[in-house]
Amino acid sequence: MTEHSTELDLELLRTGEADPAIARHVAGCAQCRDRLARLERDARALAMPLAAIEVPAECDRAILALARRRAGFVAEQLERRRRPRWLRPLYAAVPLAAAASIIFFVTLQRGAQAPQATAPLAAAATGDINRDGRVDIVDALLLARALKSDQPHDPAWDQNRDGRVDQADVDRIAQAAVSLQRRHP
Amino acid sequence: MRHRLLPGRAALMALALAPAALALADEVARFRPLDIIVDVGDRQLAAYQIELVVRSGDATIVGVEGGEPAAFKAAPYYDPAALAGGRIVIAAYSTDDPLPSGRVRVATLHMRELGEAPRYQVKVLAAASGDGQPLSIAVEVQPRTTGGER
Amino acid sequence: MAPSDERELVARANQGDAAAFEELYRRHRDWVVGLAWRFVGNRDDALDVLQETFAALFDRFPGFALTSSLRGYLYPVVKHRCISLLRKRRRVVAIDEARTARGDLAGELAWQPDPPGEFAEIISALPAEQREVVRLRFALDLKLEEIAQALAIPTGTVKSRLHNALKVLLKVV
Repeated sequence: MTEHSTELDLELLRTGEADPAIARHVAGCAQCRDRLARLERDARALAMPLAAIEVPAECDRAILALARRRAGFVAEQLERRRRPRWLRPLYAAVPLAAAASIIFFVTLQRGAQAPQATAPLAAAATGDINRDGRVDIVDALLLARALKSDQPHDPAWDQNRDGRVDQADVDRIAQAAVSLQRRHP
Repeated sequence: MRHRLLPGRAALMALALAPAALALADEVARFRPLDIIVDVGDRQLAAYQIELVVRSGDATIVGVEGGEPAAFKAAPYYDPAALAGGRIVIAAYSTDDPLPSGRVRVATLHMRELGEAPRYQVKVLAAASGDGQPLSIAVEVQPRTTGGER
Repeated sequence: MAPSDERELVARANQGDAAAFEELYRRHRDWVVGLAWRFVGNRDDALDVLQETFAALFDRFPGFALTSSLRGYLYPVVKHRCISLLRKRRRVVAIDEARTARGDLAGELAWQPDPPGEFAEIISALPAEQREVVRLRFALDLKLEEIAQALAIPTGTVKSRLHNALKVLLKVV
């Protein structure tokens, strides 16, 4: 290489990301070595370590609790996948039977209207705002329109359960809609 | 010819040797923007959700950019896990008034391609008009012939 | 490329290992909250963003694939959360709407002061997209591949922006 290295070449060399040919040239070129030394000085001047923000212990606890819950969920998902296919209906039947008996009991206590009242709430809480059985960008649109119109907020729209219905809930639905982990029709 | 290196500099040079393969791969790859264009006819587009899959060839998604009309100028929602992969779902909505109609470039995907021109497949997963009603739209992928910024 | 132990942690978290989840948090907590503070400028908001960012990260498991480093992945998440938070308070500074990701609707975020002295003025005079690359490179110490992932742009574009910014930075100083 006969031409001097560019600033970008030298910057990549500084961080170990450059092509070996650049390194060879700089090793034999006093002018480029001086420029590299100057760049190193400038890089130190530009460096600005992030401020050390004290994180309260309760914040740590909340996030670590979330971490453990998610880990439990992941482990459970994997365990389900490992179960023999022919046994899955049996495993599924146990919680379903329990849920059915609870619903039956609640229905007896509250009358027949209770399940109808809670079903839409559950649907909206999972992001299915228009209750068409799927979560997609149309749900985000509808929630965004509702926020813009200042109509009363349904508590079931609070997707992130922070006690507020706002743009973060719209974003959560939209983000869920584009997630590659979900099955798209 | 041998060069005498200062100890600190010698370490720097040693570090520089590592990413040689990366630099080589970068030379043969090309970047190509793919315009995602939808046609809503005389209706107004308020939301869309589209899936793009690399059907054949060697291509990875490296960037997502917004579209042409003001209502869809911001980059759409996407799963960051799609980057560096071959499948992505993009979606965006707008509560603006008026909303675009006719033929609309709603987004541009930036692809890193290797070898022969890859083939892409797009599918509309959802679309809605301003009142949130389902909308029938046609979608096409239009690769740009000239590359973007490099 | 992510360090192999980071990949190992992600692999363990994908298997439901609680200790791996906790370690991911401990390793990146200070970086995330420090970055959030850079954007929002106050501790309470930065702590909100910290919680939201890790909640979003944990939601990615199982099946989370690390393509670059975790910092490269976390940067846009933190940034978008900050924008969402600031948008609610209408404190976002609209500067450049070109080629921004969703969430950057109002343009570039306010960034707490750049290094004082000669560089501050030069950096502020750079085009917004070059300025962000310079900050990621020098203030956050990210590699090219990490910046490409953080900004969802090709590595070649990062190089191009960095090259142009360096020409200005090194000529003036």
